[in-house]
Amino acid sequence: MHSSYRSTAKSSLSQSAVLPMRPASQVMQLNRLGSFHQSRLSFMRTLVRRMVQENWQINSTVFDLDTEGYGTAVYEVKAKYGTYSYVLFSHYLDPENRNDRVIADQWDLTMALCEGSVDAEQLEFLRNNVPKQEAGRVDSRVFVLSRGNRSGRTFDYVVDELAQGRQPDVDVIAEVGYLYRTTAAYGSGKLGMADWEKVRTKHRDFARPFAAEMFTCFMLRHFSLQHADYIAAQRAPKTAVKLDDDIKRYFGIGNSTGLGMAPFLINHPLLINQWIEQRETALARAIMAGADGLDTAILDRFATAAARVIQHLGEISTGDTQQNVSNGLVSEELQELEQWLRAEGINIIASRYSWAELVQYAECNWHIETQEVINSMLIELYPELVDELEEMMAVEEDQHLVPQMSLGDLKALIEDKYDWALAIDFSRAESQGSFWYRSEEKMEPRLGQTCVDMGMEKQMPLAIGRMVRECYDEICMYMAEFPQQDVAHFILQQPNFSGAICRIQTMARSQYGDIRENLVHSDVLPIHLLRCKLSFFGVSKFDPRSRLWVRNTMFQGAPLISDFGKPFFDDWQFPIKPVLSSTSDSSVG
Amino acid sequence: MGFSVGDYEDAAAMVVWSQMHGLSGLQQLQRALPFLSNCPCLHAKLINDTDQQALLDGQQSSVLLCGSQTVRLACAIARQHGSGHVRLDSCHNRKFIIQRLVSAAQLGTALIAYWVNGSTGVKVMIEPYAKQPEYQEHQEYSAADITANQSLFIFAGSDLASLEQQFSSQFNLGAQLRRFSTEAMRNSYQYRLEQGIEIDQQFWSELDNLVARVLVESTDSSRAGAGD
Repeated sequence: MHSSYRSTAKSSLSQSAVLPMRPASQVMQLNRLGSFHQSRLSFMRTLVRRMVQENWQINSTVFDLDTEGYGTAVYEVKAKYGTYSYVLFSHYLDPENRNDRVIADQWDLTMALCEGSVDAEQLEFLRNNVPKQEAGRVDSRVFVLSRGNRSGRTFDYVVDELAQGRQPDVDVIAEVGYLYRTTAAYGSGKLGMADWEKVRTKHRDFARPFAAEMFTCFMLRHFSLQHADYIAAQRAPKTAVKLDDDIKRYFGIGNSTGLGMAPFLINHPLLINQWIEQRETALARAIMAGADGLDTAILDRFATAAARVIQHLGEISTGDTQQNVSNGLVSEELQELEQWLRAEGINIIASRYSWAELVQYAECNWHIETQEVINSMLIELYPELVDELEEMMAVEEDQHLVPQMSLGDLKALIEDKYDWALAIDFSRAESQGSFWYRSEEKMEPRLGQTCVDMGMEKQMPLAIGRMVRECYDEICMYMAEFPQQDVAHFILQQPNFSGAICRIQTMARSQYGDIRENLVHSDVLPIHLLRCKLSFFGVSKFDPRSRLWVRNTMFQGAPLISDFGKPFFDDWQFPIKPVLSSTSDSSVG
Repeated sequence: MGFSVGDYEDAAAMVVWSQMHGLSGLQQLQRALPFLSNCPCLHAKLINDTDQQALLDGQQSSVLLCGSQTVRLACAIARQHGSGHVRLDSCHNRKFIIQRLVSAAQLGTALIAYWVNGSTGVKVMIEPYAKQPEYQEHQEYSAADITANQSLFIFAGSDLASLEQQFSSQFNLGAQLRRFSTEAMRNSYQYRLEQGIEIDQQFWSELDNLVARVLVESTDSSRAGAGD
């Protein structure tokens, strides 16, 4: 990498007041979306900032567990604008029945986030329904329903170590990163819960997308740490020690995500547009901030961040060959970056090198995942320019059809905004080699192979590219006969295209939102869809288990509840192993 | 039930809106369900179309299927000619049309809908960009064919006052029997948002059975299609 590699971007950046937003044709490619990493705008990051800065008070009002750790826990949460209750049930689960899939019907832990305080009657109602999850029913006092399974690799090990008076080995923890993993967090009106509109308008503490769901996972992490301490103390009251706080911070919550997330991304294009637009705005602001050159302090922070990501990637344990190769490539390229920053710092400053040049260099020379890691690192450098965007992540999702639009205008709109869809040749067998459907087994979303699996006639309408193509072809045929006609008359003739036209017209008013990929191609990689959404949640340590589902870690490195209200450096992105102090806080339990 | 993309989102929005705003959307759906679940999905057919007016045949279908087309046609005509008037004959479940009026109003159109139910005329009006309409029931003195044909009239334009004049020139309403104000609807919405919607268990089972029509049988092979 050489500072002599300069782009022409700098002059255009410094001359233009318009932010240099990346085009949708670049950003909305599926493999790029699948290379996104968490950023300051990810929902876990914004939630943690809010909780720490507002000093939320969280205390257990019920901790009624037996010696094995089974029973009920209730936490009262006093946030800035309201009081909430986090209710958790811990059950015995035969390890043979432990299953992370949607089709599971038993879990180690089940929990609910409720508004206000919970009285005995409501607790009983929850006890009768929350453990059943999808098979139960709750009411509008509940925002989130979730469940978690114990890690077979770490939980017993950690408890045993604590019971014997020892802290667990950080290297062992690094292999997994959590004690429990969540397999679903339902909200927004499902199963009788409060509608998102109620949460958004009544409970300002959770009035951002997925804030309540993320909080539920954060509380699961808190409980998991208490749970390990509690069981160890029950098992060996005389010898047990509590987990060291630095180790606690290094524990996250595991997460298994499957195809359930994919339909969400396709069915909420305006929301996805909003998320990506804010992230792209953050990136553009960061790039602009370095348009007139960089200084020593910012370069040093950037190099330190690169070193941290390299260490983080080196500590990821995954059995997925492709992910391992990718992590290795990103590490190598970041090492090249770090060495260059350290060696050439003075020259970089003197030559008024800009972030725009770095981004362009990365795009030309480095792996796509490295590019997106660098973008996340750049966003991280400028909280003063970025953090206000976290208030912009929600959006009204109404789609409107414009009936008076002429068909000529609609046709031109499709050719302009959906050129990527028109470029797909759907006559090729592989272009329609897959289909998405819901199974009768707990309505689990699945991906089928055309002409192999049954159920194609019931497929979910996720093939946006194909839908646009079919609509376009019908418009062309209709216009041959009625060239001056409008949309209203067209949908009287072809009512089945009203949904397609509504989406096309709505999304044409936004820049991002539609994923530019044929999602029914035989080689489609749904895991990119999952990774995209998970990056907005703020997870780390992607561990693909197939092209259809991925394990990852939530809140690893985040502050503990006991850290709330204390000075806070929001630097837990790309968590790394803690260096334990010799005076660890491990009092006898 | 065979509703296509676009139709089922619109239909769901109509039902939920009616329920949330105190107009018994679920009860209406429950009554309509036996018909909807056993009949072909027919949309409205254009019978004739002059400058400012159009006539549609609902083919004995439901407003859940024909309502969007009707309102959109009225709005398109209004944009082109200043105002538009569409009559939809032979359609059922006309009360569901209200949500479509609200949706269309968000694009800056004023609308009036009118239909006759037995001896009662129902008139619904909404200003451009308003979130709630005004709902009125009147004694009805209109021509008999309006009742017999299960007709629904939609007037669309840029302002409600002009539409009222057009409406009055065609319909002579009797005494007002009942009024459901915008405020009452807003209160109903807030109450249901806070408390949630209760659904009768048997009706829920019926809906579940309908959902089952789009689910695919699970096999060992299909289980692999989600990650094994």
